[in-house]
Amino acid sequence: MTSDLRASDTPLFRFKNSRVSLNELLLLDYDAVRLREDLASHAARLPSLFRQMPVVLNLEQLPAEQPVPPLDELLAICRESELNPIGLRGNNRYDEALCLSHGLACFGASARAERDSAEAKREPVTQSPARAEPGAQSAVSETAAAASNTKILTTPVRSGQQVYVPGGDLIVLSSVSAGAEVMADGNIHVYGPLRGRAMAGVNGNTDARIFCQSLEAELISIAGYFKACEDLQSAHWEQPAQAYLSGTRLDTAPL
Amino acid sequence: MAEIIVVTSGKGGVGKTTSSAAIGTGLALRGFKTVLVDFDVGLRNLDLIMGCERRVVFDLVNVINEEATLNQALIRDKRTEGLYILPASQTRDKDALTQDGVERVLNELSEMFDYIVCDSPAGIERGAHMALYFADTAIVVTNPEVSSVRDSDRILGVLQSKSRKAEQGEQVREHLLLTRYNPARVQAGEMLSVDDVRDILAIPLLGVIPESDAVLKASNQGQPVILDDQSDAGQAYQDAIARFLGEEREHRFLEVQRKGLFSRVFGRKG
Repeated sequence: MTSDLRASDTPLFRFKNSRVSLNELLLLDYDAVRLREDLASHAARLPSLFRQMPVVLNLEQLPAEQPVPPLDELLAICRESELNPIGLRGNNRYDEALCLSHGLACFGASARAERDSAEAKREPVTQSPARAEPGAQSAVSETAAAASNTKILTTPVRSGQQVYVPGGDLIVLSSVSAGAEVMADGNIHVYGPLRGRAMAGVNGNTDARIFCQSLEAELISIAGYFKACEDLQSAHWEQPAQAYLSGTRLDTAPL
Repeated sequence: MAEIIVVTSGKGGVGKTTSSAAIGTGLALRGFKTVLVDFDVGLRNLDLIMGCERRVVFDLVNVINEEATLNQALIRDKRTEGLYILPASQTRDKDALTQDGVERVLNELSEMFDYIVCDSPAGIERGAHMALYFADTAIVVTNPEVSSVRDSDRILGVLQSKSRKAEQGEQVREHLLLTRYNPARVQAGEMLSVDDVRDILAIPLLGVIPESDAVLKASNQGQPVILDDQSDAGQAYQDAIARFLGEEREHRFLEVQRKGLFSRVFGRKG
């Protein structure tokens, strides 16, 4: 009877923001035989921990020059030791479609630099110089991969023009005119006056920022949080400035 | 091969046709064989400014539709040697301009002339697009006020993205021609200054034409203002032509009139 009452007007679900603490399996190097043995010995020591523990496979620190481990093999080794891989980080090494076909979620690589440096502080003893080096190399290769999505414009973006850079940064070496729109999934740099609209982090990246030589914008927006011209005119107007998100507030600061 | 120049602005009423007439005449005065093409189909004005409205028999659309030959439609200017006018049709609209047709006419003109000056209609629609599509060089006519500057910016964007040069990965040469400039009103803060406009549009400045009674007088008489040596506007257009052809000329008529008059009197004595 109660279920009848509920049926029509109450929603069946709602989305709720939640944070789950997850462990990452951070691969520093890959050797199938050794990995299988090491994981098995870990599992033997801590059977309660390994019982279907969800993990995110982190491949960011694998040496860049090494071939990518076969995904099937890697997953099989994890599952043998009763780990439950649920996602991948640093998956620009694998095709996204391949990950999805294995039921793995693709985690972004955001805030990687901060996390890496934090880890370096936490484990100064275990991290031998030999291991630190491949890590540094992979960081370089990731920068290069990100750079390939960057778009550089040397001419002014005129009124009525729209520029969108999917999955990367936009750099404008000239001005962005009033009535023009520049958008990027990453950051936006304007080395001239920004008079039009600028939208950074279009895909929801809240870490994206907007930098410009002279802030005269009609509107700036980061990950959907925006400020219009009227609210921008007080501080840093016509000054070199940057915009970033603090929580849900869009802030500007001088450069 | 002729150089194709489009005189364009986006906004209407800023002085495109006046400037086209002056530039075409100026180039012809310098000895270049020049043709003025009116692209403002349905609202043709160039023939009036050039004082040849009574001699129009065939027009651009007739030539595009192969109802007349180019030589039948071209009107020879009686004042300036080497200057011809190809008028627009008044009874048709811009849809009569086909890309193939315009290309054919421009190719044919290109073999006969040194410069082809295309007088663009206002707006960014078909007529304006056809006028600028084949251009090698654009002269963007702008008034010192915000809406005109905004529209000029828009048309510069169109030139960058929708012209033939842009499609071939090249760039249309861009020049700024600031018209109806009134130094007194600039000083009073009622008008944008030359520097304001240059700052926003960021393209080379070809010339500044002062707001002048001579322009209206010349238009009504059907005589390009550049032929009026005595007027400030005429002299400013002559300077612009000189700069267009690569000569160095200082920008004049940027200060309030009184100073200009003083120096002119002074100049005559010396």
